[in-house]
Amino acid sequence: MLRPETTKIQNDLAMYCRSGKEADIPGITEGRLPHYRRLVLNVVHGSIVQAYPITRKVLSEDEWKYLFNSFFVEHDSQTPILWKLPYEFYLYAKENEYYKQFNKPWLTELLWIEWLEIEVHMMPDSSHPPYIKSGDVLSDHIIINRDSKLIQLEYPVHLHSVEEAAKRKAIYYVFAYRKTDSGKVRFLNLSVLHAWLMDRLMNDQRLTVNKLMPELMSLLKQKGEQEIKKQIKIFLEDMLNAGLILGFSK
Amino acid sequence: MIALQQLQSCSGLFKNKRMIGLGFRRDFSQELIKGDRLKVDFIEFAPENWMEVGGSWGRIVKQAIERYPVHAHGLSLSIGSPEELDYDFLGRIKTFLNDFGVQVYSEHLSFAKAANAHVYDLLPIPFREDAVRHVAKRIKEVQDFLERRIAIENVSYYTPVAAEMDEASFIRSIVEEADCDLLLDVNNVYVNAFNHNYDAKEFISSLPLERVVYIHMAGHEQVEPDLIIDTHGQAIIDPVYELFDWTIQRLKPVPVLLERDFNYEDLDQLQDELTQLKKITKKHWEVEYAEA
Repeated sequence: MLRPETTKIQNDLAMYCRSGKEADIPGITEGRLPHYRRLVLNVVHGSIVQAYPITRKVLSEDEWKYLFNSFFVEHDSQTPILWKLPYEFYLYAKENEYYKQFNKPWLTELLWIEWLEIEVHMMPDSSHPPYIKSGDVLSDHIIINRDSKLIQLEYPVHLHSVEEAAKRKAIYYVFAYRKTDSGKVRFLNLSVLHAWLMDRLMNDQRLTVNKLMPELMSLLKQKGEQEIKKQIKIFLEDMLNAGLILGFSK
Repeated sequence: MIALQQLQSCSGLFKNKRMIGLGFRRDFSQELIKGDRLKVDFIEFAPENWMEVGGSWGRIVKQAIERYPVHAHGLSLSIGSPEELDYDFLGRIKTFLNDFGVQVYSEHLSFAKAANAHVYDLLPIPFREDAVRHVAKRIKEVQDFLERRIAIENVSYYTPVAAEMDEASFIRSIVEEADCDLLLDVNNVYVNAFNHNYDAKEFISSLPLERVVYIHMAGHEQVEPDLIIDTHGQAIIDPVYELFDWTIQRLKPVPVLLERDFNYEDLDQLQDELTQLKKITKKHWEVEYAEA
């Protein structure tokens, strides 16, 4: 078992690396500790900067430094996997409401969308049931690409510059998905109707669009089922071409 | 006849261990998979960078492990941490080692987590008796959990921390008490000998060399007149090659890895380093451990 003194020395060294505040650590060679702080800082900063190039660009230098340094000093990083640390950075900024401090209401969502690109790009491959490429989008069982995330935003940071996004507060549904061939991540902006439809189809593979229509029509409380089906058909065929829909159940 | 077969089997074992490898990095992953500009006998993954990864990188990893034998070198287990072992993480490591068919799994004799936070760098453990017992116990627990031996690497450090014994005694005591293997990083010995003014050969001689199962080689950067930082960003310098040449004459054949973490635009230079390492190992290990 470690002596309390040894534990304290190790904790002090780790805390020094984060805070830079002088620590009373015995037996140190003069002038060498700052190298550890520099190395730790470089690793963590490199990881965060690489994950959030847009956020870094749109924040002022002072804002970025303040946000990063606060995170570096205050946040107890829990993931052992460095490339996942930016997710903790996003959560930290969200929980501590930096968007309010900086008066940048889109900040949390910009961080989220930047993280989402990494997450979807790197996520383990999902298993999909066997599928064929051709079929009928309305009557057949659709296989949706599960290497994906459907999220809801208030600011369309995936579509516009942050200045423009700030003026367009509304409800936006975004599907982030990974193309099976290239592995590249694509973002699709969906209407509420399409988001609802994709969500239902993804979460219940027994459903088809035709089976869902009565439920959809009752939610919409309007007539014109054939016209809506026609629109849905066009949308789903586009999604098939875009790779968000992989194909049809065998 | 039986004796000949045993000899051939033994020779094959040494041949397998007389391998030169390279740490797998994204920037030259395609070149490694193609194997034309970079010719290696095995590759090494940092599990933390490659575990639970899918998509295009997942496919690249699969291609790599189909082509090469694989070793793994951990970054975040934090074997010297004052905190509890992270068994959830260890379970994920175990899955990685099994899925990737990893031959040697090694970790650093350092800590990367304390005060309830990861710092993502290798901090020096105080060279103390209580730390020896603590770390040895944790290594045993890890070996039991993983159901395999692990190799512990001597790390470079820039200052001792509250030391009550010398570095060689610290390393020797831990690997013997834990009954684990040793990953000998020759560059780290060179760096530490320079930074802390001791004799590198004397240091190596005092280690339990019979436990060495793996060697790391790398470049470094001198940042002050009396300080070298272990950057893995430069080519190996001649004195480190010389120390390697001297060292392997005292070891049985083991795999040798070149580590390079950045500045790898010049792949020819990387290949030159691999070739040089191969040449030195052949010089010593093919004479003493000649193939049947």
